[in-house]
Amino acid sequence: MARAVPSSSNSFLLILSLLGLMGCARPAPDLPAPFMPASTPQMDAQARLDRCATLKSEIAVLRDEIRLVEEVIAGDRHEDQVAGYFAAVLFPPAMLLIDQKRVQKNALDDRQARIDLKLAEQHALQCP
Amino acid sequence: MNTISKIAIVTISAASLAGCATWSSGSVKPAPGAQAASAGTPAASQNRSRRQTTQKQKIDPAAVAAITVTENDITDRPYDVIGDVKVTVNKTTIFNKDPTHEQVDDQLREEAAKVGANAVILVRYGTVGIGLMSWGSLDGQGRAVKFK
Repeated sequence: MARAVPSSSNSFLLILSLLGLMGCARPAPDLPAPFMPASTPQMDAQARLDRCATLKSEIAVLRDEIRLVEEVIAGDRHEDQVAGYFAAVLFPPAMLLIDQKRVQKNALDDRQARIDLKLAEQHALQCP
Repeated sequence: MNTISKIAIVTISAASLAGCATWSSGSVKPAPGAQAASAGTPAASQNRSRRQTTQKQKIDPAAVAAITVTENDITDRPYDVIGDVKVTVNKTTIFNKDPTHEQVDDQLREEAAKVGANAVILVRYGTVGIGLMSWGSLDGQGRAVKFK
């Protein structure tokens, strides 16, 4: 005869499932501190323009990398969701085995932090 | 209540919810640096009073559409920082499409309009995933600014 699962175990499984579900969405990275008002840059005009161009291209590269990582996450999302639904219905602890893409999500946050540093430098240099 | 009635209620509820593809929430909090820099100035008190009144008044859709939303900073025009805007767009049911960056941008514009901003800069997005309240949730935030 099958034994009923105690209610405390049910609650535990429910909490475990919710924790697994909560891990899926990644919040937007925090905003940087407000940039200081730009003062006249102590730099040769040409050197400043060169640095601005470099910053612009570096930011573009980082944004491309973000887009690529997001595509990877989005590409796997359907499979992860299907696996999540089955795990939730059949055996909730199995949800812990589903790849939450933490490495990729950390990579996104890292890229954004680097972009913020470059944006702050652009602001300080008063890049056009 | 028999099983058929229960199924009918669930089906009708799901169908009615599916009509609204997304629902969203948003908030604006004054940036700490901005508060320190502009507290006590006429512009700051103007912004504060505007914030209190615009929440009640209807916002002009044209004014909302005119708000610039950018992932970058604006370097060619001086501005005052009003605050940090944060929004979340959620899909209503599991059958709806995932929220997009464009929907987050629209929501950022609406929140920025409420505080009288001209632009939202430094916009960044989260990653769509299952949230506590939705099968598909996308976060976004940016800094609301007003041109001088």
